Amino acid sequence: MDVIIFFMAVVFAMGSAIAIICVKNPIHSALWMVSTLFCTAVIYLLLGFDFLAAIQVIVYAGAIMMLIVYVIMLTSIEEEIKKRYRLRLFQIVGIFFVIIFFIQAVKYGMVHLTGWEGFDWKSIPERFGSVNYIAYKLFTKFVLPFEVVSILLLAGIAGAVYLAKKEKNKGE
Amino acid sequence: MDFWIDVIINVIFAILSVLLLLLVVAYSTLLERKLLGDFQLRIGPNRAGPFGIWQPIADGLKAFFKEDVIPEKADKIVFVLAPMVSFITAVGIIAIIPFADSITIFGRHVKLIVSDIDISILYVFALAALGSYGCLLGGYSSYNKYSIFGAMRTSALLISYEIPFVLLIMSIVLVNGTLSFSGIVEAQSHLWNIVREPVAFFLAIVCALAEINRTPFDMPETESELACGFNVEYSSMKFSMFFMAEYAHLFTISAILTTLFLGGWKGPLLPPIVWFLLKTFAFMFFFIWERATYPRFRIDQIMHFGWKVLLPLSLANLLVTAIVMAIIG
Amino acid sequence: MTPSLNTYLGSYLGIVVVLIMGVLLAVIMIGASHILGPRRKNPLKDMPYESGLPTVGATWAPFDVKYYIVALLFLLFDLECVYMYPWAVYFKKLGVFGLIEMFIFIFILLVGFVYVWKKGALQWE
Repeated sequence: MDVIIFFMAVVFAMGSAIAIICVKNPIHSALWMVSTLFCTAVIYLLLGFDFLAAIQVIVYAGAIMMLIVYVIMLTSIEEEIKKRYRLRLFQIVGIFFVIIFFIQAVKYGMVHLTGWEGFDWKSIPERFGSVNYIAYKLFTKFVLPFEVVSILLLAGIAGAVYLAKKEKNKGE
Repeated sequence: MDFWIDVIINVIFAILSVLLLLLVVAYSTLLERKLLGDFQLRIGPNRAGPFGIWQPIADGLKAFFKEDVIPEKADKIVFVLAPMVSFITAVGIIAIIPFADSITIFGRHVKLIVSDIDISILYVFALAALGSYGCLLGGYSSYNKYSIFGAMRTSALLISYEIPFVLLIMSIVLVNGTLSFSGIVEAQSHLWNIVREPVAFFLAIVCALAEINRTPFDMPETESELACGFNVEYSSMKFSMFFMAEYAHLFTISAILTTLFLGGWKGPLLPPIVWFLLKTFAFMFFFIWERATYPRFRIDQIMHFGWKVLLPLSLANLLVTAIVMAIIG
Repeated sequence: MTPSLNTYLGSYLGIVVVLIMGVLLAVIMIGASHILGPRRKNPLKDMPYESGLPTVGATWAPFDVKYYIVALLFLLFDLECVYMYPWAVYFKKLGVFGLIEMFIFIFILLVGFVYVWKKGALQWE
């Protein structure tokens, strides 16, 4: 059963990903992207990462895509539709094969160069995607990266205000 | 074999709870109109049956037989998609609400919660995040100035009040140590969260009002400024679906507040399901009552209040909770 | 091992059923009203509704940049909240150590919030 759902999610995710670059209207592109992200969340869920799946929807689909839709609405959609470049079918097929090649290369690299080959999958604890396990790892072993993230977010806030202020001065 | 019986029971229960939600949605419109009538010294609907009891059904049937207008310049696919998104995300929340304790039917335990998942709170916020696309897309696709303005304001309101709401609920998570609703209800066996987190309770009600777009935060319905907000071009069943989504939110947010702060279905003497419904309808009554009481804020007042008052207060509440928790241990 | 609904994936069955129900109901309702309702086309009816007046100016008025700021700030604070969920769930086991960790995290972000406030980006004219 979960295998069927997995393949459905994969097919939908890839279909919507192709649709992102094929449709003419930027808002439709954004919606297909939301659909891709949602399907990715379903895949996370099937892998046992319920927390990550929810975060995927909340942050990516809810916040980042919302920001992108806002930006699209701030620009003039009508002109955008007229001059937007769309991919032809043979281009898509070409890109598809390049991506397949790339995935195979990465897969080869990960399996043969990093020692994943002899990895003992049974050593992974049960429910390793649960909130508790993520919290345990995040606040014991990975404290420093966690604190660095806050500085990254601070830089993001400062950048947002700087950009917005610049826009405002230009408008006046 | 046992497994498949469990599956069938779960599926039937899920379908039943969705149908019951639709019934509650239908009759909460009547409840609202009746109560508003009382508050304003009017009678309210009284023609369709005794006490207007058939009014919601008449309204629903009427919506089916109305003309389905799609404006010439509308983005037609998105125009149809938007009310569906609003409706589905509103209905989906019913899946994680714990109605009552588990009961025994035919000698097997059945949990009266459709999906007892570990991350109920995150599920609610994920659906809320997807649901906010409903009004934004509705406004965008209508190709109408007022719709677009209404949609932008509504979604700005939604995202501004989501942060304080999350922070307030975070203090509940902190106190109870779990993200699952059944776990939170269990943790309130001895003491309700309203006693532990009184400040969070009152602020969360304010945020909840904003999240379900009710007065004083009813940005989608600023009749006097924006004709009718984001749904001005909608008619027939599509308009009704936005409407139903709103009333489904009214019920689900009441149920969520009940679960988070008032101990869910816990209570003495009366059976659990009665306690749950009593508390939930008390919230719904309050939400209708305050609609008759307060005027609407302006958009700039709403944004200032959200970012400059609610956000610092809810953050302070969370930090104080953390300090107290660390001291008590 | 006998299959059971009390497993990790089993607990999501109800959600799937409810969402499918939602989709079905939505499609049925829109489809039914589309079939049952009358259709009388009229060029005036298909125009944007602005309380009876014809549209003046462009429909896509460019939006103020303040909406963009709100969305950006929402994104950043949402990310902050994402890190708080595991912290809040695990707090009882972390104790004072967790408290200090989160205080440093929130303090750094508060600096950002005060900066935004002082710069007047929260001002909604």
